[in-house]
Amino acid sequence: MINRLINQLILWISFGIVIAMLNGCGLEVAAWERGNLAKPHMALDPEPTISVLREHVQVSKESTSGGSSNNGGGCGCN
Amino acid sequence: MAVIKPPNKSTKHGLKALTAAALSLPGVCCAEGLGDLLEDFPIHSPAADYQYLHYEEGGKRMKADVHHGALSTSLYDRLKVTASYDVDIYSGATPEFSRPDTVTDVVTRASAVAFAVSAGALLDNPSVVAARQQAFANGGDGLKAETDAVRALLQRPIPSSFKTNEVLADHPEETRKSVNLSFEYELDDNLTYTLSGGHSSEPDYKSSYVYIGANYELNQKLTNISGGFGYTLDRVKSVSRPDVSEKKDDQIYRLGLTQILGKNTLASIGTSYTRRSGFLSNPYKIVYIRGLLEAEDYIDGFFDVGIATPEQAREEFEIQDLWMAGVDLFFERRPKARNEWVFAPKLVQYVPKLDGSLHLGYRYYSDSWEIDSHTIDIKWYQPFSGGWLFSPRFRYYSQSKAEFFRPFFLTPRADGNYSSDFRLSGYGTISAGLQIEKKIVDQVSLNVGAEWTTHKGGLKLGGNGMNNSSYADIDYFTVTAGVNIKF
Repeated sequence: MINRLINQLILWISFGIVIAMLNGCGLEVAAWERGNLAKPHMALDPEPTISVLREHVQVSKESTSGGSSNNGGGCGCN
Repeated sequence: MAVIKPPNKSTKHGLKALTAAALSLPGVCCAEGLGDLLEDFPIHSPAADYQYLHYEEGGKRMKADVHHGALSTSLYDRLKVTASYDVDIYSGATPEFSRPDTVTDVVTRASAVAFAVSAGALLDNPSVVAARQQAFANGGDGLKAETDAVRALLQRPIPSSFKTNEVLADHPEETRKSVNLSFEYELDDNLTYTLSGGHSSEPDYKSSYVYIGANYELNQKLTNISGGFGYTLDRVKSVSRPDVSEKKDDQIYRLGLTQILGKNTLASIGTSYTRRSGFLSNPYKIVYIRGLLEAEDYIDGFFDVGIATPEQAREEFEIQDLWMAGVDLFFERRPKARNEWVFAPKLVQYVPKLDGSLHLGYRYYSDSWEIDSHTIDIKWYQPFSGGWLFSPRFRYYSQSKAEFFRPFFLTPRADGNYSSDFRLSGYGTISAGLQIEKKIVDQVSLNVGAEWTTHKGGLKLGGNGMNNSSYADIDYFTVTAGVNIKF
């Protein structure tokens, strides 16, 4: 019951973020104002190679996966 | 993701000059028409990556070394190609099955002739031998005495004070090799297509995948919408079981939205649906199931029918088409389909006072095996002068158990699905680590990192992941090191 309530809460918070993002469409951030966004550590994933390797470990040790844009197959999952 | 491309003209020209010099060497290429050749095939900002990861579990269990190498370059101004090669080498002990510690003398693993060895072990149990001798001494029915004694062993009551005993199996060193190729084509300034594929091979597992995707930037590149479809086909074998030569396939559908929310803020939402079907079991994992075979089955099968192998046992008895592995031990079986949904929002916030950035990610996962999981990922990226980048990180993960998971089964299930793989149990993990990157020169950077993880049933959201049992708790750590070169 508590888990379900937490799930509901998290889903609603997530929807709140979506709505905030859609509102963000009205924002204007000019090209010359995007200097900070262009910094390497402001990328959605600043270290994609390390992420791929760490996700490989997580996939082999956890039952759930997803949410990243990485692809690949193979097991290596003992 | 909204992409801001850095200018690379100087690199391009410098590289063209170097390439021209190389190609004009005798025996390499014809100097004639070189300018046209380079114009047709401009090579922009090629990069080479090498990344190493070492994984090690506590208690001298599994360890792995992973090597990853990648080369990327641009062909024609709008096409980027990346090729990578991975080698994983792993070995160590891994959990095979679990049982109450009060039946370790009865529920035992057997060899390839699982039925004969299991029945023989039961008949050689001291309590069965004693019952037989007593019956003979008293002039009674020896067979009935044996059967009653075997039944008493198989149905031995489990006291509430029992502890779960986990049995490990040694895994010989194995190597997995994987090759991947990826193409990114920018159709115009707003639309990019991706096509990638790869193949992975290890002695008992082969996997091939293909993925097609697209990214579309709109709203003056403040918004990015991405989508894609992937298909994976796997072939599964077992070095110890001749009956396993199976296939499984995965279909994954992805949709993503990235939005610039301000000059310091970026947010994204990733969603995916995955349909897995085919052989989804682990061919090495075993479950203890009480009640599939009765005392009479063991004795009649051994003396009258002459059953020896798991295959014969499967044909002779109603054991739900399972493959026998010992006394009341069978190889696990999972449902043949799994539907998975993922919803993953992320926020990236730049903090001007510190010149650092906070990456805050959450993932909600739910599947048709009744597993839900929650993941919180927090990373801080802090640059320092001299080309240093420090990134401490924290991750919390919690999952509920699969509907067909138990540490052991005291009664058979109607659907015939069983697993005691601790990865399908309810548990939580906490990870903490640090990643450090150092830019040596503009084109070369090095990185090292370490991350420690503790996995406990008690860390599950809401607690009580394994009924307060800690038998499957484990700690592990990873260390990484890598180099990135841009030419």
